[in-house]
Amino acid sequence: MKNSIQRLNKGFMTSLLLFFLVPTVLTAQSSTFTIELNQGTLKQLFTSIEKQSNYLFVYVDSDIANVKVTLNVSNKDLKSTLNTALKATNLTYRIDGKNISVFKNTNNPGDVGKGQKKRITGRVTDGNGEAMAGVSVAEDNNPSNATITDNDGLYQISVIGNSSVVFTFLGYKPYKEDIRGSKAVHDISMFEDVSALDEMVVVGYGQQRKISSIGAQSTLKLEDLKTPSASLSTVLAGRLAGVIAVQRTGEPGKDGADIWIRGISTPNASTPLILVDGVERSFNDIDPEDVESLTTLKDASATAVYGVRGANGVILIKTKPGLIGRPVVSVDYYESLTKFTRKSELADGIVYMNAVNEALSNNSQTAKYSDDYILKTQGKVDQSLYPNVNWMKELFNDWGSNRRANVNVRGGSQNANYYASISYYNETGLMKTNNVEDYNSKMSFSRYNFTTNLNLKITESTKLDIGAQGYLGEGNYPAISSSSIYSSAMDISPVDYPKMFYIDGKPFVPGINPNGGSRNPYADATMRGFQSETRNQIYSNIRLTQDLSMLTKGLNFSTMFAYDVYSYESVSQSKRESTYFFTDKENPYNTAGDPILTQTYVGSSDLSYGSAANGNKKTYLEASLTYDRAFGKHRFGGLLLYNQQSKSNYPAGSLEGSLPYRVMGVAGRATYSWDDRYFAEFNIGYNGSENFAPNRRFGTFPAIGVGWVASNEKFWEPISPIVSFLKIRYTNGTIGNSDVSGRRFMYLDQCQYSSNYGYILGSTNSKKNGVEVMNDGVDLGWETSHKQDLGIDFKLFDNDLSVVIDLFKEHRTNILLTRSESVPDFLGYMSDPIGNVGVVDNQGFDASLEYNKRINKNWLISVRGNMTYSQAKWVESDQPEQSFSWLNKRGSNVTGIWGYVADGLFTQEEIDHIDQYPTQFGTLQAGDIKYKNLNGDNKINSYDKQWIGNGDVPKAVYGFGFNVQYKALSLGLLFQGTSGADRLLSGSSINPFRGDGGGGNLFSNIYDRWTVDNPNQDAFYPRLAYGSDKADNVNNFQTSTWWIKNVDFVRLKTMQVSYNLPKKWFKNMGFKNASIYMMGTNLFTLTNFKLWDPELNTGNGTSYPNISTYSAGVNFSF
Amino acid sequence: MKKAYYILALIVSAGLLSACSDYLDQVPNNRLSTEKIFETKAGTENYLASVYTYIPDEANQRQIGESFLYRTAGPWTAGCDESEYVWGFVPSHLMNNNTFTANEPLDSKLWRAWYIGIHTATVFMRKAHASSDVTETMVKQWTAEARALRALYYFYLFRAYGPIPILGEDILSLNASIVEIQLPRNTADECVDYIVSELTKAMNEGLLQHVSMASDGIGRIDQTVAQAFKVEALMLKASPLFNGSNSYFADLKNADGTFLFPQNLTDDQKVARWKQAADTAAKFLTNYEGKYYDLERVYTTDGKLNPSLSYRKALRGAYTNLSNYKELIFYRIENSTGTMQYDRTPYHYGAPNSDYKASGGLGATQEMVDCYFMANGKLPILGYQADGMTPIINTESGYEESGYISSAYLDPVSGAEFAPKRAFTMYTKREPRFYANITFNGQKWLNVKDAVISTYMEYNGNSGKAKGVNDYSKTGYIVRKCAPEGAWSTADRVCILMRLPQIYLNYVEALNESQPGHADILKYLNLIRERAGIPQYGTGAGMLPVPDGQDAMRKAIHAERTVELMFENVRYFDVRRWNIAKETQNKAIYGMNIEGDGTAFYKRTKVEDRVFEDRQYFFPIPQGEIDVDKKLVQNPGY
Repeated sequence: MKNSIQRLNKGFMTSLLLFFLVPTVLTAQSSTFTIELNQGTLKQLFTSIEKQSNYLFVYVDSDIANVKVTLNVSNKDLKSTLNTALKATNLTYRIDGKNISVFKNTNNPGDVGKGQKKRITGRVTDGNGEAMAGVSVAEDNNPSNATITDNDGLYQISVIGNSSVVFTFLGYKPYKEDIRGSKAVHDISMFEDVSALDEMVVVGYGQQRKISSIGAQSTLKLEDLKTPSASLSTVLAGRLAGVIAVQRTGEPGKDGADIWIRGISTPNASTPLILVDGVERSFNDIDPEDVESLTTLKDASATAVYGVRGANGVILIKTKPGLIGRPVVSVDYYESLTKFTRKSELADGIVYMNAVNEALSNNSQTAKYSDDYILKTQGKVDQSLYPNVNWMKELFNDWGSNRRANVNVRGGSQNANYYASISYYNETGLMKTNNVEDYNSKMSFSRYNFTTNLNLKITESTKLDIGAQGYLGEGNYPAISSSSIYSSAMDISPVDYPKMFYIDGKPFVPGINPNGGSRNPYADATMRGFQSETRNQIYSNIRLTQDLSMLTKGLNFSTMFAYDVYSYESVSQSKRESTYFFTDKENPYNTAGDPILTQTYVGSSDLSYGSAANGNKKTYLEASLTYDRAFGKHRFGGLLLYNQQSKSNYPAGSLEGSLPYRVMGVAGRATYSWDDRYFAEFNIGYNGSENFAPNRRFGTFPAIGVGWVASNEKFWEPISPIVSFLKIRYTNGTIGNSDVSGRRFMYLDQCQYSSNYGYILGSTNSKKNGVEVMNDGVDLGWETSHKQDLGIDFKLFDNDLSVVIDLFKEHRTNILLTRSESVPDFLGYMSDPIGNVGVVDNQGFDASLEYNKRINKNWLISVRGNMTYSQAKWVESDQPEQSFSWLNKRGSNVTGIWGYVADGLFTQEEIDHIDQYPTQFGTLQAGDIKYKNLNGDNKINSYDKQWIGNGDVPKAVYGFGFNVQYKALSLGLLFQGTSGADRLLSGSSINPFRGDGGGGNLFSNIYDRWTVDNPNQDAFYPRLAYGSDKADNVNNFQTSTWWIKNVDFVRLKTMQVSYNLPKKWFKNMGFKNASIYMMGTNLFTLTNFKLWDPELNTGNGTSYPNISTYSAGVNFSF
Repeated sequence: MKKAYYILALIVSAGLLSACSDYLDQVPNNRLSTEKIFETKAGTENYLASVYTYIPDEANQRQIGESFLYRTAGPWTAGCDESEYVWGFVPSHLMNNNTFTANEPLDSKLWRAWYIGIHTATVFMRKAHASSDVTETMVKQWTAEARALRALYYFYLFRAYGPIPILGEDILSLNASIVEIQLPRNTADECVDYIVSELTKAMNEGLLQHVSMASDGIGRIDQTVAQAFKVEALMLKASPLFNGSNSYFADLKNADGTFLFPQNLTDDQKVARWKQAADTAAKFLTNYEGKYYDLERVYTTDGKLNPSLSYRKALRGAYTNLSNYKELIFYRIENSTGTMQYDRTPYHYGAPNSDYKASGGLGATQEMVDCYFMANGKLPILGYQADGMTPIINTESGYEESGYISSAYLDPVSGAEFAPKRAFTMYTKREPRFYANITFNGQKWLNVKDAVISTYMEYNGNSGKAKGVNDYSKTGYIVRKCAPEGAWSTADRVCILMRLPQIYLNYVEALNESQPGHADILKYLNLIRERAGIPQYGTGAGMLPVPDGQDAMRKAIHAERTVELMFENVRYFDVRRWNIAKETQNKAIYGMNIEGDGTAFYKRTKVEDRVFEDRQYFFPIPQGEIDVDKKLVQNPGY
């Protein structure tokens, strides 16, 4: 045996790609056993030995436990005890360290002596060199002669010579080994059959055989997915067909992505239902390491069982369950540096002052900054008196960092297995702090996660799964929000005041506004105090599954109860320092050279305390019956399920808000298939909603699906060498929605006493509250979405290439809209009622492609790509018939932008004949935006607006990348891109000098402007003007196509290089394997939009940017 | 074993069924509802308060059109040639540069707020009923108040938007079909007649005659308020803009051909309208003058009328002591005084404490400064030369526009300082109302508690552009009317919505148009002048000649009205109803040179060009309304 192991070892050394496990202890234990057993079961024997030692018995075939044995040993060592016990059985065993594997001895005594019989042994490992347990090993032409590998991947089988052995394992490509020849040891590597990854696939409330699944769904295995971000949602972009994900900020702890499935087809909540282990939960704060798989359900058939909750698609997350086997401990750790993908560049002070002077002179006003002043600033004569501050530079460091550690252990026996993990994540932001304050305002986020999943087999037919997970997230931020700090930087010019005044080393915050306006961004970030946030989440669920085959075969009952609690608390200590400025700029310094300052704003250096808290709790109950049974070529399946969920939020703002949010429903599914060729499925959801009057409360939402696996037809055989698999699917169904944000119980009037609507009457100076009618009750019904999906799955070249394409079409009717447009205000209702008035059509496709090719033992290549395109448009909105067709909302999409069409800039010649042009806004000069006069009258007004933009949610998203493995080294790249998103720019800085009195900063691209000397029609900025109230600074900032910028991009989302360390390096340390990796995210971005990261949700860059990360990590298990 | 499972299945299904039946029925029955509100006196009064809430709070004219529905103030002061806000966000700029559109939030917010007031009033009138603690008399009075308020809201709508749809007693359901809500605009005459008849009905059916502290009714609509608004409505009806004299609106008609403004009224018909207004005003004076109302008059210790203090008292309206004021007809007790005072208290860089330091963001125009009479009762400026800026000085008036005075100019009555030493001469020898209403460069501030400080609006002055950054006057003058003597943040006064002189001036204007030469014209005009502390026409010390003829008298009345009611949200509507806005508003406004210091400051300087086109006589009907209601015709020009 020892010999064979060494040879195995040597064999594997040649393949750097693979690792294998060295059984750490092969020698027998010295301890002895005394056991007396008369026709007892092996289970009793094992229990007895386990009690007397540290050994653990492992067996795969469950009937082994019931084998009857008789023995009477005293003070015998382990081997002789076992030999005695198993003598009369056809079982054999192997001792590996503390584990004792027991398995059926296929090399039964009866076969010995037959000359052709040949006994072969070996080890089966996967592509990573991990031992594979449970692999079926069978004689090629004699499937009844079979065994399975043990926990160390070892097998032995006796077969007839001149034959071959087939190794099969779910999800792996079958492997046929030729055993002719004298070689007795056959070590096998099996590789995942990626295209057939899931023989079983996750579907709503269960699993289905992949071949029979008709609904549109995609799955992401998170095995090797690492993401240097706190938020799991950030990994989705570009990885799953049908998912549109946009990351709006990179602020530590707040960087979750916005996610939609197949676009937005309602102005109401359009985010998908996210279920973690079957319960509606947020998944951002789950550690990626703990996730087994992530599945999206996209069409009506797949989501119907979720009823109304699934109208916008469903994302199912499964955390890792336990696994039979010896405990394996895995550790992963990485450390990253982070920097902004793109930091807004602001104009230099000199550029700024020249632009101001130009803007003023455009309106014949005198220059604000004299040449002398500009020269002195340029010469850096005195940077307090002539400041020139780059606020972006003063606010942010160049680098931040993050790190993550995860330790998990997984293992178990037949009757109980477990997964448990803890992880730690920490990230620091790039916002600067100063060393004056003794509190910590450093932007950082830390999170501690734990996950435990326990799977128990209580009886032969009863299973109990218990899961508990949670996290503690702690964020620390400056007291002023990052977007507010950004806004300050956009509102103040580089030349208004210096970053700080110092007298005797003591800082004085410069400021010019007595009411607190024109805030000092640097002081905002570093001197205003801090805010600490704590988030606590516990998820717990328990599920009981009972096999009811005693009633009828194939029937199962399952019930689950889940209880989740969440709490959030923020504590802030904040202050607002007094601000100062030169008393007299002509006479700025005293004899000691200190600035003579006057207090401009009266603040306080005392921290004041504030706090906020909220949270929620949720209970979820589910009970279901499932059925699955085959009769010959017919196969039937069924599901009947009841669920209810109740969620309470605190603090509740009103009586209505204090009532728990409840949903309940019944779901059903029936499936039928014949010969794995024809498939049919019927799904139904029956749901009640608290929002509708009792008589309209319940809705029924059915969906049907049919499928045909053409490649299983006889006539297909000639084609199958090329097209090995082809399935065509079609589903059609409806789903409902009853929710609009901010309004519950829509059938009820809702009013409250409110001082806002009150009045002072009577002699006492006391105000009588008025009555605020928040909502008038209206009789409403379900918003209904009719979805169709036509899908085709095919595989080419021996399943190496697999392609899935889905065309989808959604027709949403009775959309619940606030009727702000179709109810005239003169009716006099305080609130706009909600009505079933909208209709939206959405169509598009999603597709994914995967190609996996093992070129030889050393090379493995995989290429993957996916794309999602959706185009939604209003068919009917709340909008009444418009006087001109282009005013119609119909035809535009839900996130569309409405405004004027810019038709270039006025030339001086045109201005000279301005009478011939329609009137616009304010006074016009050359270089001002000329708007298209759509209705042909003599003025540009609201009748000349149209839908000019798609909005910031892309129409198409795509991802593509590849992985190359050469021996132990692998390289992976993923690109991600979006198309069809645009953004309306507006706000301080991007609209020059539009703040009060001309306030506001400038972006560094201000050079790209129309000027008299360079009347460039394609300039970024039209003619400059100064002041928000000036008639000559009104026209250019109307919402128009001029300010709509395309924010499409392609970026290198991740790049990862990993190297599996040679085993010999840690051979003696007890490790199973170890690897190191380097990874980068958002490494570069190609886009035409240069001002800030194109994903950010801001019209003038006032949002904490997304970040690039550069990480290095290690990963090992033992 | 099998049995056990059957039982389990039964229990589970029973559990599910019972859960189904009431899991979603969780809203308690006795939550607040409209019906419940009217079951008690407290609830009914609360509902009535929400009918009242849409009375405009004109103290805050800059955050208008924002979220709060009840804030129904308009851009009246800075939206006409009275003044100018320094801050760009204030909607008055939209009026001044003619960029106000039918999609402007201000346009729809005001429209919506008043119509909500109308709807709320109608609901109240229908639902208020007697109950255990509500008597029939209370119901009658409150219902009449709701009716009067509804008429007021129609008045406000009519004044701003022109003819509007009148809903009467109807409440249109939210489930009404689109056909049922196709309402046309009522004609201008129908609107006024409806407002007047509703006010009359409210007076006859329960309004208190006059509220007082004693009657626990301060702040309520009473018969005097209703009568005053009848006068206001009838003044509109008689005025040129509404009597068909504005050709721009002559053709405005509904889809069915109904003209919205009167067509081809004869002179007699026009006169009859003025007479109706005059009669209604006369009735107000007959019934209530002396009994409830009189001009505020404060006397010196030796018994002389002190016009300066009288005028300031009339504008004070401290709400802790409302019974002390005789001149206030209509006011809003709760209001944004702090905001108003912040706009009118200068920046005062370096002042001892924040009580003194505000913004001075509401600048008065040079045109308004020029309107004040000299102490001798004569107008200093008769008009402007072709450049629109150089004044034509009335040499008889004694007005001078250069140099400084070497000693303070004192109130001839009390000897109090009107203009400090070293003030610019043009700010001296003016009437007392000038000193009450205008803060000019070098003037001492009202608050003398912690220090006596002067206000300088020169470029580098303590309230100038250099120091104030965003908070300074763009004209070199700051509106002083209603500014506080204490801290600017002290909010202890009502928002004045109508004073007795407005009735006087309405009366004399209507008389002059209908019965020129009527003795009451001189009587009431002189009452105002006497109280203002300037010589009267044809009587008293230093008297001035009586204006000769109807036109001259009209001029005198307009001049008096402009000064007396300046910054009280009257002129915006006056220039419109008089049909003169195209002359008065379609030109630049002027001020002092705020970019200069010292003598350079005292130079008439253009502040901004302003545009007035015919369409601006009225607000546009909000575009959203036009889109839904196809019978609602838009005002021309929008």
